[in-house]
Amino acid sequence: MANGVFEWEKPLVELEKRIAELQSFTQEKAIDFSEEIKTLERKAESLRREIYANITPWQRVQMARHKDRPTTLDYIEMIFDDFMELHGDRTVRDDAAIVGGLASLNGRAVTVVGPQKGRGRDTKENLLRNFGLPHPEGYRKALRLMRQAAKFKRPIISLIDVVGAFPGVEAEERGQGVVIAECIRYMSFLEVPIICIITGEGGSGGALAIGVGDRLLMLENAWYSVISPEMCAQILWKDTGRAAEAAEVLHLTAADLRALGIIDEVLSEPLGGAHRNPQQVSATMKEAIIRHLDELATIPADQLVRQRLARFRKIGDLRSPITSFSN
Amino acid sequence: MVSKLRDIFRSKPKYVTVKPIAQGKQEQKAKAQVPDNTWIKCPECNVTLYRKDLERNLNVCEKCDHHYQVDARTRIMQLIEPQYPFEEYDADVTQVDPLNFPSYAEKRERDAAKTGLTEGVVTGKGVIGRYPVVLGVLDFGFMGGSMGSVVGEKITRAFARATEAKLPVVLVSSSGGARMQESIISLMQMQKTAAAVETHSRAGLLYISVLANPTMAGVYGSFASQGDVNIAEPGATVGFAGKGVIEAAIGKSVPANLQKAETVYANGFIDLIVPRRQLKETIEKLLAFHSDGINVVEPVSADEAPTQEHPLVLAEAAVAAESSAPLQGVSADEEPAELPAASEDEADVKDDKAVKPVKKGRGSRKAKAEPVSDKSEAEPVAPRRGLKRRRAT
Ligand SMILES: [Zn+2]
Repeated sequence: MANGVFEWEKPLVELEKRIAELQSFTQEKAIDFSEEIKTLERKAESLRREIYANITPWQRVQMARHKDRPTTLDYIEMIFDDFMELHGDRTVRDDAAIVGGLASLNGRAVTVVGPQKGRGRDTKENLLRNFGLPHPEGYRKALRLMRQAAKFKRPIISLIDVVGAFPGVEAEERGQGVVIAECIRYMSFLEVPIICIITGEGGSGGALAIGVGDRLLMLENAWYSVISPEMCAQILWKDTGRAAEAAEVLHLTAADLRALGIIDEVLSEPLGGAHRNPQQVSATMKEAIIRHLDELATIPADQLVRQRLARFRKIGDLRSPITSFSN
Repeated sequence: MVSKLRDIFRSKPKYVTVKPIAQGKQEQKAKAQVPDNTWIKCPECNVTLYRKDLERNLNVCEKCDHHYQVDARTRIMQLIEPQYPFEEYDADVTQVDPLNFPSYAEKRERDAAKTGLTEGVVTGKGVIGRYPVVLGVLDFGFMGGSMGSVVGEKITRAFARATEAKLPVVLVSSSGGARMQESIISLMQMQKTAAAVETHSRAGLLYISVLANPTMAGVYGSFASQGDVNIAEPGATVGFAGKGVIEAAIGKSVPANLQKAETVYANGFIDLIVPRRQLKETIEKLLAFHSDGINVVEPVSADEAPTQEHPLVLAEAAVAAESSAPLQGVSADEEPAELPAASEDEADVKDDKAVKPVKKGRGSRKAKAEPVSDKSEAEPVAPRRGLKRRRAT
């Protein structure tokens, strides 16, 4: 990938560049290129369809990891009319790899949490955010804020983009597994509406820790799996180079997970990925959040929890087996 | 180095356990030492042990206290009172390969044949001391004790039944984590089991979690770390991320004892480290502390005990006779890559029958898949009068 352009979309991007050039010529030099532009646009359209109609799971994984893909804070900024970040887990420290706080959604108070990757290519921020890999204190902060939301009857919006919980010495010493278990355990019973959106990467327990909700939505090019394709390929074939094949067998795309009944709705992205038009993706997300919150607002709290438990309970409930999924 | 961090993190197995990442030298050595021959050389202290003596000592080395892994059946026998029936739950719950994952069906069949189990966990109702309990034991020999839909479902149902019957749960874990071959479905079992723990807890009931070697990743990160009392066996590996993954991510080696039970205990996540010889009495004591004095069975003294052997003992004897079964569950990664899949017939059969236990004499006395009524479960398990009477005549 060069300059944020994937190999497979290069011909299209070059064509788009050429069209833009001709358009600026038309303006600057008052020469009429409209015929040429029209031809090129037709060509670009068919190329676009060809490229993105056959996008593979592995290509989607790469799009989910695109350096310019909007991060949690970007989405928060675009979706909510106000946001006040709150800090700290009240035990160890503030983990910048997870952000959370109070937000206003068209005037409605909600709590937002989500892992935060470094924005763009800023090395300093990437280090501050630990590349979006949370420690136990990050998850503990998220749980604290979600419990706070339940206390004040605020809905919870969880924006999930995380490769996994950080595998480190201190993370183990401070109980990474225990805190993740607690998040999953207690989030399951919070008596407020919870909407989870996988916006980029949904890596295993580190994602599920903030992923137990009444609605699970997923951006079109996000992935969600028990293991990353690279690790899976390493285990299956002792070859991380076969990650593309692993991405197929893991059924980690939004479309696959919708077919499996794990997620409720796939939120479409602009062709080429969310980074091509962050505003558009945010508008799509905002519309979906409001629509689902309105639905959930009518359900009494105890019934909400029962329904939440039931939706997970039936995953792999072998009294009603999931139909075999074949390629 | 920084940009490498993410790549490395992605490139190594972390969470999944078909071939669990080595749990440290000690265990690797132990795995290599699972012969069915009569003499066994202890991987820790090199002393030569007579197999029968080792078994009599609960599979703990007499000289150095090394705790060998034990399979689910053996563990159940070590913990329960043989004079009361062990009513196995959900032995018929199986599901083969919801995602058509490469070589998954073969691995399941192989491990079913190897362990005589239908899946990686055995659950049921038994009696420990005077206390009826719901007992679950993960078997590392079945795909590294990993949690897929069947394991998650059986554990969830075990907690649900215990909640309904107002019984404590004792769960012995030995697992590398969530099972890769069912991808997202395995991941979601973490929610199911963690929520089942909480529902049981909200009913004011006791959950004792026993962490045996190893208890890792998605199993530790869901139900195994969540006991009211967490007990670990000495030397067990306990943690979330595998050691190899951590080392790859941070680019240096980690302390050898980072995930040893003793370290995790010192860090405050385990209540007790209990040698296997004291495990049963420790659990009994905990059950006594939490007993209402009503839901107990009459003590049966040794001379009153039925002569008939416990069904699990019979099963074990049958296994030993048939195949000189290995002493402990072998982790998948220590085996040759290509194990013969029992027989062609078996390999072709994809339904439940292919993975049913081959042993006779164990399993439930009740209809397993049916929800158990509150009443029948809430009643204390009475000593088996039939057996007693037979003895008296
Ligand atoms: Zn020894």
